[in-house]
Amino acid sequence: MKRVKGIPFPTENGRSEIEDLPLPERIVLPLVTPFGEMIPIVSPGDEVQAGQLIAKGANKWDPPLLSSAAGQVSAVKFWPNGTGNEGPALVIESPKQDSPFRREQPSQKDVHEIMRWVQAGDIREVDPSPIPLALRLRKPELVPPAFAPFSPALEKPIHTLVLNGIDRQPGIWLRKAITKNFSSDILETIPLLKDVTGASRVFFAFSKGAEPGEEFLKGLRELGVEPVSCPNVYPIGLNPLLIPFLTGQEIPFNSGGARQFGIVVIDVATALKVHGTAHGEIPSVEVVIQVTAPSAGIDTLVRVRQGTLIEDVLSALSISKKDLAKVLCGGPFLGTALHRFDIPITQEIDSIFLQTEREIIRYADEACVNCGYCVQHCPMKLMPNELSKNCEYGNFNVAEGMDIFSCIECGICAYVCPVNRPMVQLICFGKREIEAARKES
Amino acid sequence: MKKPELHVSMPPHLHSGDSLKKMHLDVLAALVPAIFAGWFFFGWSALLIILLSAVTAMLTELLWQKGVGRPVRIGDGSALITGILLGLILTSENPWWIPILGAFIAILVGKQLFGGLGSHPFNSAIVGWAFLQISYKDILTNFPIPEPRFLLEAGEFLSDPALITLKDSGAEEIVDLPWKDLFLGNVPAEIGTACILAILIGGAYLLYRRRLTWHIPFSFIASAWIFALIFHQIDPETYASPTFHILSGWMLLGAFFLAPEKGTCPVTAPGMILYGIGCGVLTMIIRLWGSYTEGVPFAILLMNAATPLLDRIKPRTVGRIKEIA
Repeated sequence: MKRVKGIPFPTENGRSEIEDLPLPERIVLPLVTPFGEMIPIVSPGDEVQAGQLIAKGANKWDPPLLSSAAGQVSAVKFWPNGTGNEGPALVIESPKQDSPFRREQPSQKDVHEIMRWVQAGDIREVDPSPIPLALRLRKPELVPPAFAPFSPALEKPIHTLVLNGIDRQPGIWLRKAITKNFSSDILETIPLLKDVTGASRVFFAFSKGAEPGEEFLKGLRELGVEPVSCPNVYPIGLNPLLIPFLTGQEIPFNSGGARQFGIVVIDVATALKVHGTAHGEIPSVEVVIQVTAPSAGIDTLVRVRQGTLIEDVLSALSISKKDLAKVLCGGPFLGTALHRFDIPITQEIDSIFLQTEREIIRYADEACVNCGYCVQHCPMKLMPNELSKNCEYGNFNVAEGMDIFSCIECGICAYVCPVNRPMVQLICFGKREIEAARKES
Repeated sequence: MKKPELHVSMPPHLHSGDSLKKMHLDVLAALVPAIFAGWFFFGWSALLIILLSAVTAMLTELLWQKGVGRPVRIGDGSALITGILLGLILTSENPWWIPILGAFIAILVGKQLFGGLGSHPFNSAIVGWAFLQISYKDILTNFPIPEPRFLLEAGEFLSDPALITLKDSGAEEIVDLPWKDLFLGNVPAEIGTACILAILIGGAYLLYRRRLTWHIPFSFIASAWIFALIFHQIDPETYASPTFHILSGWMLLGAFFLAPEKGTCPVTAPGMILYGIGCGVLTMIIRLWGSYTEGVPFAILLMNAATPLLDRIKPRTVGRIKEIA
C-alpha cells in the first residue's frame, strides 16, 4: 500500500436517512449523455409510463433513457443540463402520481438475462467512464460479438473488481450513507457482480474512520471480498488514484480506462442500481442526491425523480433562492457551477452544493511565489506550479511535455495555493488549447 | 443588462484559506525563540538591530512598490521576515546604519529588482548580508561576549566565535569546549545563530505546521555531519568533530530558515534533497579549506543558483507510460 498525496478528508457525515421529495410539476429528461446524444422514440403529446423506454442511444450499447414519471410528453426542446451546456431534452409537464414501477423479476440464475436487463435499464454513473457499465462489467465470454468498437478492452479478462464506497470529494458523504443504508442489498449483488465479471479478486474500498458495520465487513469476507480501509485523503475516491492504491496498477490517461488492464470499478450507488435491476426494479426512475447548503444549515440526502429541476428541490427543502450566489452540481471540488436554477437532476449528479455570496472563492491574478505546496500535494506527482506558469504564458508545448494530460483536475493545487492562483483552471485552459490546436492541424 | 443571478466559475469552489500572510506569521512565530535568545544573550541592542533591519526592509518594499506602481504587498509579511532574518545574522555590536543598509540592499537588490517575492533567485537576507560582509568586513566581525540575563554564567570560554577560533587556533582549542555552551548559545556569535535550542524549537514548529518539509534541513545537516565526520576520522588533530560543526555557526539557522526560503529552493522531493546535500557539502568545504570561516551563506547562495536546474528533476508522474526505446 502506497502513501497517497492529497488533502485530508473530513470523516464526519450528516444524517444518513433519505428524505423523499414530492413529485415536481415538471420533469425534464436531457437527451444528452457522456456517450452522445440520444434519439427520442416518443413525440410530444404521447402518454408515457414511468419506466417506459422513451429514447435510444445513438449506439446500441449506450444506455437508453427510461421515463421517470407517468404523464404526457409536452415537448422536446433545448434545455440546459448538468454539464452547464444546453441540449435537447424531453419535457413532461405535470406528471401523474403512479404506482410503484416494477417489472417481472428476472431469473436470478441467468446472468445473461440479468445483464440484458442492466443493459436495457437506464443506469448511468457519476464517475466518468469511457465504456458503458453494462459492457464494462461483462467478462469476455459474456460480451456479444456486436460490440466491436470496444473489443480490444473487452477481450481482456477481468481479474479485479473494485467496489468503491469512498466519496468522490470532501463534503460529500453520499456513498458512505448508501453503504450504511443498503448494506444487505450491496452484499446481495456481490455474487452477481463476481459472476458477471469473473473477477478473482474483489475489493471493497471504504474511508478510514467511516468503517461500515462489523456485520457488513464479516459478510464481505464471507463472500471472498477484501475490505480495504483507505486513508482519508482526497482524491483517493477517484479511479486514477484508487486503482493504483489497491492494485498497484497505474492507469495512464490515454489508455482508455481501467478495463484495459482487466480492472473494473463500480461505485456502491451503481452497484445498488444493478441490484435493483436484478430484482425487477427500475432504479433510474429515482435519484438519490445530497443537498448541502452550509449557510442554511442543510446537509441532507433526498430521493427525487430523475429529471426534477433543482429549483423544485430547493423549494421542497424551503431553501430561499434569493440568498444563493452559486449552485454547484457535483460537489465543491469537481462540480460545475450552474448558471440557472432550472437544471434537471440526472443520475450523473450526486450532489447539489449551494453557496452564498460570502462563501464564494475568488481566485486572484497573482504571480506564483514558488512555495511548492502544490507540488507537495499533487496526487499525480505533477508540478502544477510549472504547468500553470507555462499555460499562463502560452507555452503549451512545454506544458504538454510535462504531462499536462495526466492531470485529473482534482483542484488540490488551487485549493492549497497561498496566493489564490487559479492553478487547475490554468491547466484546464492549457489542455483545451492543446486539444484545439490538435484539431486544427 | 440584467445582473446574472448566479456566479459561474470553474472548480474548485473551495479554498484552504491559506495565504502568504498566514505562512509568514508561522515563520515569524518560529523566529520568536531565536529573537528571544538574541535578547537573552546580547541584550537590548540585539533587539534594536532586528527592529531597524525589519523596519527598513518593510519601508524599502513599500517605497519601491509605490514608486514603480506595483500593488503594495507589504501586508504579506515577506519583507518583515527578510528583515528579521537579516537582523539575526548580524551581531549586536554593529553600528545602527549596518542593519539599515543591509536591509535596504536585501530588499531592493535581493528581491525587488528581480520582480518581487517568488522571482528572486537568491535568498534576499543573505544577499544583504553578503553585501555588508564584502563592504564592511571589519565591522561585521565584531563579536560581543554574551551576557545572559539570568540563570546562566556568561560564556568566558571563548572570546571569539567558535568557528573563528577553530580557523585561527586549530582544532585543539575547541576540543574542551562544553557542548552545553554551544547548544544554549553561550558563545560569541551573531544574534540569531548563537542559541541552537531556540532555532530547533522554531524549526520543530515549522515542521509541525507543515510550513517546511524535512527534506532540506535533514539532508543539509546530515550531509554536513557525514562530510565532517569523514575528515574528523582521517585526522582528528586538524579537523574538528562533526557535532561541533553542526552546533556552531549558522548551520542550524541556515538549515531551517535560510536555505528553505520559499522561491529560492527547489520544490520536488529529490530536488530538495540534492539541494540540502549541496548546501551541507559546500558549507563544509568552505569551512574546512576556504578563506571564510563560515560556509553556510555562500553555500546557500551557490545552491540557490542551482535551484532552476534541480527543479528539472521531476518525480515520475502517476500513470506515465514508460518510454520504449
